[in-house]
Amino acid sequence: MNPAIVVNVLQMILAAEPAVVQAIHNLLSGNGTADDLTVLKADTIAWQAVADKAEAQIQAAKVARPPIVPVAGA
Amino acid sequence: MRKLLFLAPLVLFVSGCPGSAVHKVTVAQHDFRFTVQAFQDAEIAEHDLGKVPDDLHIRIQTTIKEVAQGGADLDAALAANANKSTLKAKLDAIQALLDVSLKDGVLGIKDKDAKAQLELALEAVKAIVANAEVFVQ
Repeated sequence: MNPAIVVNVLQMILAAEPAVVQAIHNLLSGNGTADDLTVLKADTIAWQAVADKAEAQIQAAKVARPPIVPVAGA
Repeated sequence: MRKLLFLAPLVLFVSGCPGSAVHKVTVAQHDFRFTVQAFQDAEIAEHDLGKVPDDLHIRIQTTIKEVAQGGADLDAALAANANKSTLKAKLDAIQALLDVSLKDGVLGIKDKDAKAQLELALEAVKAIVANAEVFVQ
């Protein structure tokens, strides 16, 4: 196992967005503002971006792989 | 030992955080999104290097897409202050998808380094979800 790989993955995990976490805290404690709702909505939109990216990868890989057509009588 | 390393950031974010189960799961849910994004990007990178074949790439990205949809659904439930049983059902469904990604995707990768990296990234996601599930037992 390459230690650099472990460090890279760990760094990605630790790179949280404090603004989003704070927005959630504020909303749940009743101190939410319009800005907090905007940040929360952005977080939800980020999930859609993950789904869209996955879909793009799936479609690209399907184009790269022509379907296997069974030959009759083979 | 590797699992302890990935639980460390989770402990930092959650251990000092009092409050309801919804609040605790909400905090964990943001770590969850970032680890899913990290796993997605790592898998795409390995596929682009030719280390993950197309059929496994399609299977893994399909479950990532379903996990993302589950994540957005969980976001909506948290915003609506859903009860514990609702949150648990959603977290259980996400955990099941992650297991599929591991069993039917990552474990089938032949390149040892790529498999090890992706397995590590996926275990990090599973650990965060498992810890969030504790708050809704």
